[in-house]
Amino acid sequence: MLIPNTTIWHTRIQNVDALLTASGPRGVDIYRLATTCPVGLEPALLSISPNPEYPICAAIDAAGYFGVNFVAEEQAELVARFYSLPRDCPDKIGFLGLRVERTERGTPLLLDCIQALELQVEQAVNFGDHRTYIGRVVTRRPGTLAGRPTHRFGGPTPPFRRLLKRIACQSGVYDLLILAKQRLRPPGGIEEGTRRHVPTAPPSAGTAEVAQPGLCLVGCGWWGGVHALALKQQGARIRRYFASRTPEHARDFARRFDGRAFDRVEDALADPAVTAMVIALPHDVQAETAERALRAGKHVLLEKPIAIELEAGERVVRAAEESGRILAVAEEYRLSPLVLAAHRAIRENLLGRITLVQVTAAGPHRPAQEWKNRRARMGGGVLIDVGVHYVDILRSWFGEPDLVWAAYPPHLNDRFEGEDSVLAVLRFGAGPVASIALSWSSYRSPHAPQIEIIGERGSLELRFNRSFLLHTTPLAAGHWSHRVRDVLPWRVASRVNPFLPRSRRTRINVPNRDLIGSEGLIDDFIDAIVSGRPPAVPGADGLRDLRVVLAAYAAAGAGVPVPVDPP
Amino acid sequence: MPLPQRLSPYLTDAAADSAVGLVTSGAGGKLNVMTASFFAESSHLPVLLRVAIAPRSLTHELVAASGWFGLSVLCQGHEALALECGSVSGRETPKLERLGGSHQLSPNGVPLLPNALTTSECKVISSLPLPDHVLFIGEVKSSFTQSRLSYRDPLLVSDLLAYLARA
Repeated sequence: MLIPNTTIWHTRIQNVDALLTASGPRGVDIYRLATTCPVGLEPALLSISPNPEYPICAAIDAAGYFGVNFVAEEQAELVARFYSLPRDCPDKIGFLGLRVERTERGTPLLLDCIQALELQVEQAVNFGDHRTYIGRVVTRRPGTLAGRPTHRFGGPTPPFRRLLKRIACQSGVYDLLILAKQRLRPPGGIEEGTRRHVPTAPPSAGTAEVAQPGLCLVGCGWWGGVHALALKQQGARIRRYFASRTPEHARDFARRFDGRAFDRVEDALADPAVTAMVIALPHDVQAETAERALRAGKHVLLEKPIAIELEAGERVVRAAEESGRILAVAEEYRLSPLVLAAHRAIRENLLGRITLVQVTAAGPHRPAQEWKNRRARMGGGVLIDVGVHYVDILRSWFGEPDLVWAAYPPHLNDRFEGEDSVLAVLRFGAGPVASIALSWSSYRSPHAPQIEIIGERGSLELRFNRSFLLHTTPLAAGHWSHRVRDVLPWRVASRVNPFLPRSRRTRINVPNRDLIGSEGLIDDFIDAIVSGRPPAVPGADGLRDLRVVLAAYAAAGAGVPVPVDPP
Repeated sequence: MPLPQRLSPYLTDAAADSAVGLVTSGAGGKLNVMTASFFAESSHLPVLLRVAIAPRSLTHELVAASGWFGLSVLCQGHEALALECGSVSGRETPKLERLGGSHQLSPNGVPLLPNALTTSECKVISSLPLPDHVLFIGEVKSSFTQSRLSYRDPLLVSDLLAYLARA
């Protein structure tokens, strides 16, 4: 039986045990690890991944050399004693009674081991919450236990226990125990399970800026709370900071979402512990804040829209390019499992050639924040605030639109200066034509699809509150219902017809979590920082979304379709 | 299976003992499996592992093209399988087919081996060129253990050398 692994340790990729040694300011530092692996033959290279929260990393970074000492199976007691030492024990070598000999470069190597290697650091890169060093072997010394069996991760299993486990595995008892356990507690994802076992102690200062990035939420208002919750869900993977124009709000968020507050945004910008900023401010001040953050060397996740004017958006994108920092735009729907599943269906030609897409969202809305009622601060109304999400989804599916038209239905909300309803139509070259109908002053059934994609072979319906896409296709030509309609007299057929199937409907299921992608958005941003890859929705995409929205406003103003400049 | 005439440098020249597994990959209708001993854990959160692959290998070509790979950790008793998948190139021999069709294809096109000790499907999030290998960092997206084998210890290079010496 295949059992889902729920922690990283279940993968069994941790292999041989070794003790890492380096010469630090406090003398010889030592660290146990099971993450060594060779990564090159000519020259001989070895890689290790220690936890950067431990002082050994600072020692390696300072010395440029480290030792890897492979321990023998018979040293199981030594490895067990190592676990009992506190992280900051000043003389681990002395407590463990280890014999050490230094190389000519001063790197400490253990005498009592299978083999001791001295390595010169060639590269050091942070991946996730650990730091990976690639070292070139410069010294290779056999230890006093050369030729003995290797100490495996977890230590040797006592023979009787091994026999019991073997009987359980081969008789199926182990499978039954696992099934019972899974029934009591259904297995979650591997990351979720691993997170439960990773200690959440605060990191040592100055050792883990990228491995455990510090994210500062700028803007502790209503929507900032959604980001704050997603940041809290990251647990020990990040350090959390909060800044607001109102210091009490930042302090309140710091208390509720487990972080530290800055009294001013400027203090957060100047603090090197802040690796990145999540900016959720009123539309009119976002771009300028993002530009300052990027120029201060911070990575930025910027709420949509990227700006309310094209020039301001271009300045933010330029700041990211010039600073070499990551600029991501909070288009979380792009990471929704529903949007991704629909994209896959489009790519795999499930619907044939797509002709029409209808996006509809309507519901009464009274903005909680006063700035949202002001057109000058919003940069418009419902289209720039909500419509930009749908523009982004459509662009991710069909590419760039070449023509845009828009019109405003009757304005019903007098408090709201921007448009409270809009119909925008986007043409994607020779591809589909899409309509986006939005209203903050109307009501429609919550059961109606938000997005319907219509193609020559069927249609797909998407609603962000259910975990499946509805795929509708015509019935096959030989379906029994066609024959029933053919054989029955018209008068009977017309009465029976409502009860006969008219199409085939199937569900395309997606995982029932994070349907709007807000957790995925933070995950993606952190992954991008840690790994150096581009984010799912980079700043340039946010700028293109804004270009389409502004073209729609121009079209509504002029009353004619407006071409969109290609990027 | 016949034993190799000449020992692979991965068995004799590597800097240290390490676990042995199979890296699986697929792209453009091609599937492959190769024996690997250059892999380890890289991060707890996110769950990352790394595997170093020679750039001239078919596996490198497929992983670079698809952005996905599978890593199956072998256990004691899988010595012959490790030697079989490590002694010929996937360009010359369809090695997965020789395993008797025991693999399953994931939705991401990665062949997974249910008869290994554990099997993990990984998405490449970064790669690092090194002098004679490319280090792929993969995020573990799904992972399974074969319960029938879970009492066994993972196979090490030193176990393989001992097996060859016995043979």
